[in-house]
Amino acid sequence: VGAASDTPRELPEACAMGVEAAAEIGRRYGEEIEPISDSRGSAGYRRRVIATEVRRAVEALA
Amino acid sequence: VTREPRYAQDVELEGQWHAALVRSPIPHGRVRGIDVSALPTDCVALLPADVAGLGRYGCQLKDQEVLADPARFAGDVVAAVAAPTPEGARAAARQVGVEYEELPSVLDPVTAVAEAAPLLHPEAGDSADDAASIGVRPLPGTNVCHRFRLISGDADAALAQAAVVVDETFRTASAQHAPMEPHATAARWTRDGRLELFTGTQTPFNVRADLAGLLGVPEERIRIVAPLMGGSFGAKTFTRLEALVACLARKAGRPVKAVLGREEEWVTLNRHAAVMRVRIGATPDGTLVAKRLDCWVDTGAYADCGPGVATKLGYAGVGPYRIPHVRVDALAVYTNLPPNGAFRGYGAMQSVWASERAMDLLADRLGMSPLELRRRNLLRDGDRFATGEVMHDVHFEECLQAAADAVEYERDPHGKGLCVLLKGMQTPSRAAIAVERTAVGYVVRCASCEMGQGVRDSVRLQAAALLGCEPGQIEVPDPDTDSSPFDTRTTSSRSTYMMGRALEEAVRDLRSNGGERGYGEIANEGGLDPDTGQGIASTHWHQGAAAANVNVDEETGRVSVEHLHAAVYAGRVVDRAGAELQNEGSMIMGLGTALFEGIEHADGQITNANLSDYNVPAAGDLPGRLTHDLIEREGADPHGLGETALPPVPAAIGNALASLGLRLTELPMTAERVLQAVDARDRAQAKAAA
Repeated sequence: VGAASDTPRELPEACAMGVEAAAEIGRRYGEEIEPISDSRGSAGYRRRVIATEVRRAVEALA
Repeated sequence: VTREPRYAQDVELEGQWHAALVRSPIPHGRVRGIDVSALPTDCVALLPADVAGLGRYGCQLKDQEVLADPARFAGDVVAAVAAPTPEGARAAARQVGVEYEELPSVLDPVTAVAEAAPLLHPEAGDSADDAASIGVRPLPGTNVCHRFRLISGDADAALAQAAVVVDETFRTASAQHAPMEPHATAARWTRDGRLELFTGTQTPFNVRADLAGLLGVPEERIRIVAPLMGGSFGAKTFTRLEALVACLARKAGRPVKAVLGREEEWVTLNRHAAVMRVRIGATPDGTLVAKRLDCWVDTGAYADCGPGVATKLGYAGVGPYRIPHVRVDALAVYTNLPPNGAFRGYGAMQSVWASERAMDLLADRLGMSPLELRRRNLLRDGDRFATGEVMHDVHFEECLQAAADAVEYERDPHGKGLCVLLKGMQTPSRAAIAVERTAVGYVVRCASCEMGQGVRDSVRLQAAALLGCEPGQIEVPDPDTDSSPFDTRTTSSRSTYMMGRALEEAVRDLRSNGGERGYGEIANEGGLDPDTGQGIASTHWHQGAAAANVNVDEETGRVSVEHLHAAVYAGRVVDRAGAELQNEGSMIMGLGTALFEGIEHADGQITNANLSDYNVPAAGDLPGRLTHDLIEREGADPHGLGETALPPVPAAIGNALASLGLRLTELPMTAERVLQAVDARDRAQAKAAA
C-alpha cells in the first residue's frame, strides 16, 4: 500500500491468510500503517480507507 | 508557437527590471527593523521610508498601505526589491532581513468579533467614496469593517409564531481563484512624471482612482492599460500589485515588472470564507413566513471589496422567494489571514449554499417535496422582493423546472438535489463605449477587460449586428484609461448587458452624426440602504437553478456526480458558444467548491498553497453528464450569465446527499466529511431502531 505513509508497506503475514480473509487483511493494513494527517485527510480517515480499499483489492482477486 | 496573444505577464518595457516581494512570515507583527546590508549593488529596495508620505488605498475602505506595518497576515508585503532579472530579484529579496515584534492574531471571523479579540485596524479606514464604493458601515472599536442589514417586516416575531422552524448553521471554506496566468503588472514613469501601468486587471478605472488618491496626483496623470488576462475569476479586481510596482519603479528610476509565483496567489486574494446561521419558518402547508440570516464573512486582513461581498451575500441569502418577514445581519470581518475579495459568484455562492440547504431541511420537516416547497414560494412577475423592489422578467420557476426535468427529479428524487438562486448585478453602475469608422470597418473602444470570458467577441458580435458589417471588421483594442470611455468595471456578469445597451446608443449617435464617430453611455441607478437593505439591489437579476444526481461510496465517502445540470436565464444569447462555455466553466468551478476546494490554515499559515495539495477540478473529476440550458425570451435584452451556474452547484449536490440521509453543512463536502455524515446517519437510524 503506497501513498498513505512515508514508505509503501507490504504485510506478508496478513497477505498469507488468503483471499477468503479479505476483511481481516484490510483491517490489519488499516491498523499497521501509520498515515499522517494533512489537508487531504486525517490519519483516522486514511486508516479506514486503507482497510476498505485493501479488502476490495483482495476480494477482486477471488 | 506564435507568441500570440500577448498576456499581461508578456509585457516588456524598455529597460525594465523585475520585482520580488518580501513577505511577512508571521500573521501579525510590527516591523522593528529591515536590514538590506546584504543586498547586491545592482538592485533597488523599496522600504517603509520610501512610502512614508503616501496615503492609504482600498476600493471600499482605504485601509491598506503600500508596505505593511504592522504585517497583518503571513504573506503581507513589508518590502520589495527590483533587480535586472527575475531570478536576481528573488535572490535579493531573500537577503533582506526583517525583525518583527509579534502581535496576537485572530483567525476566525466569529472569534474576531468577540470583545477581547485583537484589533487589526484600530483606526477604521476612510470610505473610498468613489464609483466603486458602497455605503460602508464599519463598527468602530471592532474588527467589523462593514455591517449590512436588511429588515423587512418583523422576522423574530414571525419566527416565534411559525408552525415549523429550521435553525441551522452553515460554513464555507476560503478558496483560490487559480487563474492560469498569475497576477502581473509592469509600471513606468514617463519623463513628464506620468505613471503608466500595464496590468492584468478587471478594474482599470478603479485602479486609476485608487492610485491617484494614494499618490496624491490627478487621475489624468495615471494611465492604466489592461492587456488580455489568462483567467481571473475576480482575482484581478481593484489594486493588487499596482501600487507596489509603481512605487518600486519610481524608486528604481526605470520600468519595473512583477509577475507572482504560483504560491503567492494564495496570499494575494482568495474567496471569503463564511459562517451563516439560517432560521426559516413556514406554515404547515409550506408557505414561508419568515427568515433570519446572520452572517460572518471573513474578509482577511484588509477590507478590499468585503463590504460589497457581505452585502450581496446578505440579500442573495434571502433567496428567490416571497417571504413577508426577513432580517439579515451580514458582517464583513477582519482576520489575520490573506485578503479575500471578488470571486465568481460574489457572495451568492456562500449564502445560496446555506439558504438552499435550509430549504431542503425545511421540506424534510414539513414532509414535502423540496421541489414543491420551492415552487410554492418562488417569486413571480410583479412580486415584491425583501428589498422592496418589484420583480420583472422573472424566470425562477422555469429554471427550476428545467433543472428538475433534466435529472427526472419528479420520477425519482432519490440521490438527487435541486437549488434555485437569484444573484444581483453591480448596481448602480455606468458603461460607455465609443465607435469610430476605420478604413476596413470600425474600432470599438471600451473598458471591458478580456480574461477569457469572451467579452471582446460579445462586443464584436453586437457591434457587427448593429453596424451591418462582419465581426472581423470590428477591432476591439485593450482597455486603456487614456482612450477608452469610463466603465464601472468588468465584474458581476454585467459587460454584455451594459455594453450592449451602450453600443446601441453609440451606433445611434454615429448614424446621426455623419457615420464617422459615435458615443454611447448607459447608467443604471439604484443601490441599497446598508442599514435597512431597502432600495434597488439589482436592475438586472441573474436567475438560475441546478440539479445533481449523485452516488456515494458509503465505505469511503467518495461522491460520484452522475449528472449535473444547470438552467440559466439568458435573455437573448449574443454568442452561443461563449455562453455555453460560461455555463460549463461555472458548473465545473462549482463542483470544485462543492467537493474538494478549500484553503487550509495552521497558525495563520496556508498549508496547501500549491496546485498539488489544493485540488481544482481535473478532467477525471467531471460528472458523467454535464448539461445545461440557456433559457431565452424573444425580445429580451442579453442577460449576464458568466457566474450564475456556479452558486447553485454546491447546494444541489448537498441536497442530493441529503436525499440519501447524509446531512452536510460545511463546504467542501470532502470524502471524509461525507463519511462522517454516513456514520451520523447510521448512528441515528440505529438509535431510532432501538
